[in-house]
Amino acid sequence: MLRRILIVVLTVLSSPWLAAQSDMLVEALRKYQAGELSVARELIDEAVQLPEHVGNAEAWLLRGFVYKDLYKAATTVDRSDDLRDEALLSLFNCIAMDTAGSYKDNAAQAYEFLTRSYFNDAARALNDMDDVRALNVFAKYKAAALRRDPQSDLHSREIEFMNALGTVYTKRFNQDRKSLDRFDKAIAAYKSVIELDPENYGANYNLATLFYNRGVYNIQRIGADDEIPSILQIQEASREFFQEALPFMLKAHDMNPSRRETLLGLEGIYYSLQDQESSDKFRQLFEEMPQE
Amino acid sequence: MQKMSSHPGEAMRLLCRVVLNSCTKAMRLGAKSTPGAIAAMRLLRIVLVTPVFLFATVPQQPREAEKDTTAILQANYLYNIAKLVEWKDAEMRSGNFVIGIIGGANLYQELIKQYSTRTIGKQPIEVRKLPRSADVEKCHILFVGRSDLGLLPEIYKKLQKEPTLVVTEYTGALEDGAVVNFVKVNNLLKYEMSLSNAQKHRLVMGLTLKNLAHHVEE
Repeated sequence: MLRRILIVVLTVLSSPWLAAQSDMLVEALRKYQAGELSVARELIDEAVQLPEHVGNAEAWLLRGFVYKDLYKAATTVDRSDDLRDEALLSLFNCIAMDTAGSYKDNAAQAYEFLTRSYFNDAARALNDMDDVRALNVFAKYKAAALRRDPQSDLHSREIEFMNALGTVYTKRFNQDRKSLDRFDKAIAAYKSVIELDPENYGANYNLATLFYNRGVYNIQRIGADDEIPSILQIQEASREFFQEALPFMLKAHDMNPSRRETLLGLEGIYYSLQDQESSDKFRQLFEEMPQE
Repeated sequence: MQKMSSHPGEAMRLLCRVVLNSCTKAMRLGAKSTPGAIAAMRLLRIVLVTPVFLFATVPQQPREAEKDTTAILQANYLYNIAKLVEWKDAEMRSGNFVIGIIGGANLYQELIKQYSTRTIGKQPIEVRKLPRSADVEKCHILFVGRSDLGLLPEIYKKLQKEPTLVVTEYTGALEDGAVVNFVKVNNLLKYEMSLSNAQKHRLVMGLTLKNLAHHVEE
């Protein structure tokens, strides 16, 4: 749809000029209209280097759309990222140069589409548990959004992303408890959420759970080969995790005292900290709380 | 001409799928309906705060054995104590090495899981879940959990001349007659022991056991 609009806009606006001359820009538009994207790309790349077009919003708009369509047709990730980056850059140039406002709306619409596509790709990468790709495209999403509007409020997007990233790292850590880097990354992700939003219930709860589970896991590994000195050492190590977990679980509980999960969480943490009285108190609150 | 299908709801749905993928196949990439997006956002909120971790399946019933850190620690302590104590009575040095448990269901399970195929010296470990009664069978070690403290006066009385190492978990247990008592010190589970009570049961507590105890009553 946007492509159709673009062609109409460019054709109408450019018709006097088209009639007057036949240059690379016109050729590029014709090739674009004909769906010959590779040729259109070569022509438009050359055109925007020319002195008469380097500051031409129309040329940059066409380039943006050529690259956008090439991006959509790309079959490999690296290739599509490069094409998308070029499309975004061209559309941004168009918006910046279009002082008359002739192309701004179309360019902005396409720019936003491509920016959102980065966020979607970040989500998709998280879905595939590919944290490296997710971080990479999320950074591109932020850069694109901020380039368009340096005052963009990406706070909530950042929180969503980092929470989901923390969950991915947690899942990956749970799959292989020896991969402590995943544990550290999950902690860092949730802590970054809390830094942005100290009142984020999910991050507080998940962080507490992560620490608690790590402490429990250490103790679960105790077996017949462990002698009393190592039991004490393991307990001391686990105690640190339980103590780390406690303030975050208390915070989550304070934010939402009627959540059964935090009551149970506190019961478990206090129990593992050998604080039977506090554990019993939260166990009682948990059992008195109606099912959600 | 292609219609641009990307919209903010899609990203949220995808993020949801990250955490929902293993739980449900119901959500689909690219679903566009508004109710779907709302449901996805709701699910995301739920899922992000309810990961499938150790808490997730704990019911209102007693703690699950595998998450009962105290039971895991106590089981290991009992096993190590068994290795570091000498039973002077000849009859206790043959046959199975019996660990009796009253209360402490999770401790029993942990002992069965981790230690029931082990031996103390040449004696195979036998873990017995005993009924809630003071009429206890002959055991090398008898653990009485805090839920059954009411039985202890009678148990101490009945076992006072038996070669049974009574282990408990309450304040003042050594004064009452326990040989080993679990105590909580600085958020850690430790043990204390009474040498005089051990002697009454003809038990010799090893030096390592004494040295590692939080407190030893002579």
